[in-house]
Amino acid sequence: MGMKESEYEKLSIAFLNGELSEKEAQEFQAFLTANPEKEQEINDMRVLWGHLETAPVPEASRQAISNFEDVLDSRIQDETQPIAITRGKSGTTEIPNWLLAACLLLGGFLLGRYVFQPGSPTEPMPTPGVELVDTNTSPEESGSAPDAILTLLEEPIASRRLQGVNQVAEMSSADEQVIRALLQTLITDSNVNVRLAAVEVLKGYTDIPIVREGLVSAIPHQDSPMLQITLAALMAEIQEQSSVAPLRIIIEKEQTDSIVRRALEESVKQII
Amino acid sequence: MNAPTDMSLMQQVQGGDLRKMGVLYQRYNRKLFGYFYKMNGDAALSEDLVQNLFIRLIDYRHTFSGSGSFASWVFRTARNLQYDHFKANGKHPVSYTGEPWQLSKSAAVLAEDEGVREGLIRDLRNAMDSLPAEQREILVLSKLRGLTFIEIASILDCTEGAAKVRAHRALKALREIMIKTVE
Repeated sequence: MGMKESEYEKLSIAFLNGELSEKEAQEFQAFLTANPEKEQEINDMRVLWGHLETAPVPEASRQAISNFEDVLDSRIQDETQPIAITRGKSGTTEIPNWLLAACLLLGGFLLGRYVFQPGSPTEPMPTPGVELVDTNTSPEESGSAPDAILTLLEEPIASRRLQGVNQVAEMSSADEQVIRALLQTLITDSNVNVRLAAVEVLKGYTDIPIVREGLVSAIPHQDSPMLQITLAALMAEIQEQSSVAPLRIIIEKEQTDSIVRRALEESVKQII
Repeated sequence: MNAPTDMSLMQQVQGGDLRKMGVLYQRYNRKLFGYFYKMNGDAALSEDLVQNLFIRLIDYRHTFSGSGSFASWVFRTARNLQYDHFKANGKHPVSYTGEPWQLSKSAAVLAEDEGVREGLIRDLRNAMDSLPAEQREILVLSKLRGLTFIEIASILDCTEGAAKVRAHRALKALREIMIKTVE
């Protein structure tokens, strides 16, 4: 009895899963009997297949569940109380307060755990006791100057850079130097949450030509699906024609994730 | 009264009722934790990734079109998260350090001897870690309770047949790792 290799490969999993009909299973068994090497392979595979799911997995801790509930509560509260910040030339833009809260929560929660794992080539371990930004105090109120923000954006610790981005979000209008620093952050920062926060702030300045150009220039530098999708959605929102070419390059890359590809195609369609 | 479907809960989340994401979290938390844990072997990291994933689901709730199952969408997002993390931090397959196994000959012993079974499970985990991430992933997804190959195909953006072929090849690679020194 003959069978193409690809057909054998496909049927073998269905056979091990018990998904074949009685007749199909008999035919497959007859094929195995006629091909002792394949029979040996399937017998070995059956042992592995049967034990794959028995490997123990620890339970997620109660603390993790409790943490998520806290995050969810915080998000629900934030989404029902959006804040409005006046932007220089952009007019009034609603800044998603939940993003700032999520960044802070994520920053505290994730940075210590895995963004800065020991041995990471780019980031040192966070210093215990590093304080995250107090979002209730604006840079103007706290006396922070653009220079202080620029310094924060160059800090080696991601939570500090996030603090810098959040301080820009709280400014009524940022000057060109700060805007350029944010654009640079979007291209070079090693931390996805910092880059995402930078995009959210820059959204409020998209009527400034250098911001639009900078956002387009940042597209080819993003390897995070989150950033790729976020930037593509923003390009569609502001109808930035010059973004189509770099977005298409990502779409055509073989290694681009399918969900990203679909989202980017949708954004390009909206732009055109 | 029937429990609300994942789809209807997600539609309520999209409509602004974020509390329903908590119900979806309860339903999927354990499965997603299992997925991450089997991919990276780190419980604390896996807890973080599950939390980060649900925050993403809230942020990107508008991208759920409802054309596929909620499970497919969640696991596609989980894959992206896992990809992002290891792109940033790097993780390479380790070398297999377990014993060589005569698998089918061990079947009868495995059924009776718990010590042998534990040894196999330990070496199996070691062999899984030595697989390339794509192969480890298809096996992890294949064995997650409740995920069908149609959903796995949707997660991997391929046909059901192609997903099964990938699973076969990954299982074959696993076998070769574990029996290598016997043959």
